[in-house]
Amino acid sequence: MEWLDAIIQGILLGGLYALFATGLSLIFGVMRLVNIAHGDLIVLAAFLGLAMVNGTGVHPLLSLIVTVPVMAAIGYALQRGILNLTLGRDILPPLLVTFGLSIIIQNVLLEVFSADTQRLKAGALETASIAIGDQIAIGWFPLIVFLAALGVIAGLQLMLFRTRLGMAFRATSDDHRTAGLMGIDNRHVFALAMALALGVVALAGTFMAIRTNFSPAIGPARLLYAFEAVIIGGLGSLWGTLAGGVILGVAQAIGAKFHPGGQILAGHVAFLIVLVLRPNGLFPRTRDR
Amino acid sequence: MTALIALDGVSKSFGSVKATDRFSMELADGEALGVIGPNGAGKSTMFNIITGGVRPSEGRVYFAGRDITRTPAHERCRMGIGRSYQIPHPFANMTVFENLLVGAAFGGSRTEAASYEDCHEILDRTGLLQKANALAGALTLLERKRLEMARALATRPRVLLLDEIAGGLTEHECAALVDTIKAIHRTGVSIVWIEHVVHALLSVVSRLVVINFGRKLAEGDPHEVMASTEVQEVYMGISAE
Repeated sequence: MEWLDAIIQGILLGGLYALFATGLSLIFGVMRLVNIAHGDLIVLAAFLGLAMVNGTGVHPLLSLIVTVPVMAAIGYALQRGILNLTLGRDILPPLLVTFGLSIIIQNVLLEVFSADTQRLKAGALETASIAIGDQIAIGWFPLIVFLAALGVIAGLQLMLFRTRLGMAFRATSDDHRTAGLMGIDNRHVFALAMALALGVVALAGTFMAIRTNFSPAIGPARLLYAFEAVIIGGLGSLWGTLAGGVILGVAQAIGAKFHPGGQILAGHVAFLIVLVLRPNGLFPRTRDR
Repeated sequence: MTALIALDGVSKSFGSVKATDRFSMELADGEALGVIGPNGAGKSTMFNIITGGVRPSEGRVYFAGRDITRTPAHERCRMGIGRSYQIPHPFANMTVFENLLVGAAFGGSRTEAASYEDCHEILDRTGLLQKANALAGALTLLERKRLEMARALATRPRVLLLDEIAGGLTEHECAALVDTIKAIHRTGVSIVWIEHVVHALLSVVSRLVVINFGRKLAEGDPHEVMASTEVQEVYMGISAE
């Protein structure tokens, strides 16, 4: 029973990791950009939520009404103003620029919010749970996070395959030069992809802030989890990213059962095993040139 | 009447190689123009300058009287410049139909319902209807070449730039392709066609431009141009003694 409980908690935690990773996966899929600042953007969103909650006293989940569009707007401006200029044949410039961005975000957050660890308080929601039998209880909040991850990924998948914008995303993903020749404005399409990604980041950052303590320095570790989830699932595949997040979450929960310090290590080991056995991830895109 | 496309003294160098050297040409609305020249003469670079993939280091590009030298590629496509590549560039992870839909929805600025009808009709015309739901990455070379042309047509171009589309085809396939291109031309679409398969080219175009070392070597009536000693010497590699 204890093991079943660990696995269930791991799956739910995986939902959060999947939300960390979804934006990264989408951006890589559409424009082959590896965003080193992704983790710090998650933390930035968490602090935005904190400022909202402290300033107005609203419930953290309600603050999403503001933080999601704000982060999306930041994403659009960031892509149009900076990142579009770094994209080209060479993969190094975007890596360097987003690495610099990561340092800038960390230091600005440090300057504004200090190095103190923070927490978003969600009241009764933090401890509310559904009891299943005597030994297993599922927390409402982890469940909400997991369902949100499912919803976000299902929504993005629908968008990719059912809408005009999704068609533009898939076309630029396959060949952005030819997409330009077909009348698609890549600069705009890339910026919309980044806006969507950072909208999801706002969701992920707020959920993270309710679940755990956070400080300006924890961004790179979130980036690592996001990367691992994306690689386990297979580059550019959104459902794969969800699976990757869940595998990471379950591995961590099982690792924690063996040894209290084994949680993080078990996640990394699971990642390494997948990398060795299936270097392209579990659900790679069917075709890539 | 203003020319549909006009290149005015355009140059483009790649390192020390002058791919296009003070090159000028005009295309009248409704005309079918053929372009020939040896490999590396700068024919494809000239296409890239027209579509916006390459920006010339000097000279101007005009479309229907408008200076488009600094206009981005996607806007040129929406104005009505369609192109097919010598080496096909399909959206490999999308179906054939979706490939066309992208062109119709963005390049042709059509509503979705109208796009579907257009795409269906173009697939029929280019002989790809049976492959509509196949992934573009899984097509044969011939099918990919047809897809290149079909997708360019989906953007509802006023001028279609065809880059060596007949290369590698059998005699029979080539004849079918010529018929398709003639039919497209009859609908009022202007054609600029770069081609090494000269007999196919000559059955469609009414004027021929010969390019060598990025410059215009000869221009005029196709049969006269082909017969001129200069062209025979440079292009066909036949020494005229």
